[in-house]
Amino acid sequence: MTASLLDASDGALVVAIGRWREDALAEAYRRHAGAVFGLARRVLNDPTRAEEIVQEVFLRLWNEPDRFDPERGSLRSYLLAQTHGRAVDLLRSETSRRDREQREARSAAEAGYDIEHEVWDLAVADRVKEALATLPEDERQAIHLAYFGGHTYREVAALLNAPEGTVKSRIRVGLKRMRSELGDVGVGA
Amino acid sequence: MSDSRPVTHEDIQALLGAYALDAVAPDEAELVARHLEVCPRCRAEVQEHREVAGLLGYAGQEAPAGLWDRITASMQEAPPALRLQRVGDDAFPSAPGSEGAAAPGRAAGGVAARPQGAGAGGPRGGARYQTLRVRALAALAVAAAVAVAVLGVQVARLDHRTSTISHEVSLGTPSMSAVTQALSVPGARKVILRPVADGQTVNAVILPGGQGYLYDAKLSALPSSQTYQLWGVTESGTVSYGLLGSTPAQVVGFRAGAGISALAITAEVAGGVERSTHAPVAAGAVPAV
Repeated sequence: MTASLLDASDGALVVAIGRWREDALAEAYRRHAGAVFGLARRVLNDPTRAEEIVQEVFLRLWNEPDRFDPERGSLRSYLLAQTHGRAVDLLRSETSRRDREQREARSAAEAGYDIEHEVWDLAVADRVKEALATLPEDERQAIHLAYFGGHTYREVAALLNAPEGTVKSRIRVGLKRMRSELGDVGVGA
Repeated sequence: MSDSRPVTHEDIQALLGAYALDAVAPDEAELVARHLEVCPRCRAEVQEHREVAGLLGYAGQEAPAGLWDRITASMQEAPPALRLQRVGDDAFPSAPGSEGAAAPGRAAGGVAARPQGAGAGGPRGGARYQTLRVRALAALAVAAAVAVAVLGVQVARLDHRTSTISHEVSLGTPSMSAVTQALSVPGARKVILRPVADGQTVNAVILPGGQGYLYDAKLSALPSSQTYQLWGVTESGTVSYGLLGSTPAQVVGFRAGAGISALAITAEVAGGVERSTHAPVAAGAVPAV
């Protein structure tokens, strides 16, 4: 791998990927595969299917690099949004009713669990932790169940026995609160 | 959105957080997506939510060892029926992993140090023509790998598979207006066949019923002893879709089979071949239906 690739911005990497530079894909993988895998595994609770999603997401980046628009956000958030969408699709399409019920019971049992542990190893972990700490517990729960549990806000409302409108609002307000707390912390590598 | 009153901008805004977390119903997702097309402010908000979600979602994990090798293996090893080997070239690259290529993911983890091993994870070998071949393999293999993932269909090595042969079929030459019309049909799938080495892209459109058109096919002229040949990578193998001639028309009609995941064009001896042994000159994935 050339030094220029190691120093390249994500946007430049994606341009190189568009030119069939496999080493550019390798560098994008090095930067972001851990995050992609971690999220897929967290949502699916299944390392094998999480690996399949990692493959799918990076092969798609290789095949259709033009879908990433650097002006619309970082490469990592783009990859993670794809990962999350795909994981949730799998969850919603394949989970049998019984599995679903079991999972809901488990999610409900875990709903009081803090999500700080999800971010412990990030360079910005402290700041993310601080930002999380500013959230009221009900906002944290709603975000946790929706994002990591793969539930729709309606399902979250049922799980928490709260009005749907309230849950929608908790998710949005919680994310906004996090955003302003985090200030300029970026998601990119 | 179960009640019948009109959807307001506020209704949409209220959904943006849940939408960014994929936590809305499909009809709501569609509603928001349509709105985002025309509302930069809401688009920016969704993007911000996703950036935050990205921070939450990162558990500081590394991708499993060996996963990168499996990705490159699927790029290099599984070109469906086309054996994309140059004539006179030796065997395929040796089995993936046997060369001990370092996984680039080892250094994953936020700000962890970058691996020093130059070339880790990059294409194996350095010979230019091998690189070209790798690109060629990748073009089809990626499409195939995506198809496998999406359809759950195992695409086996096709050396042992008899592909449906229709290479003697000469393709029709419809007009550009047929293409324009096809592009406006709902459900029509657009395919961009990228040049593998150099040259221009070739566009294609496939209608839901399988009728397809290649257009903007500005392929450089071949000697008359050769012809371009169009291939479709499908669930049941790679199938010849017919011959394009040595100087292809600007618009060419073809018939795509069910479950098509990629199109490729090769240069072959005049008369075409049953199974190509050449790298494609252009290839592109067909979006899933």
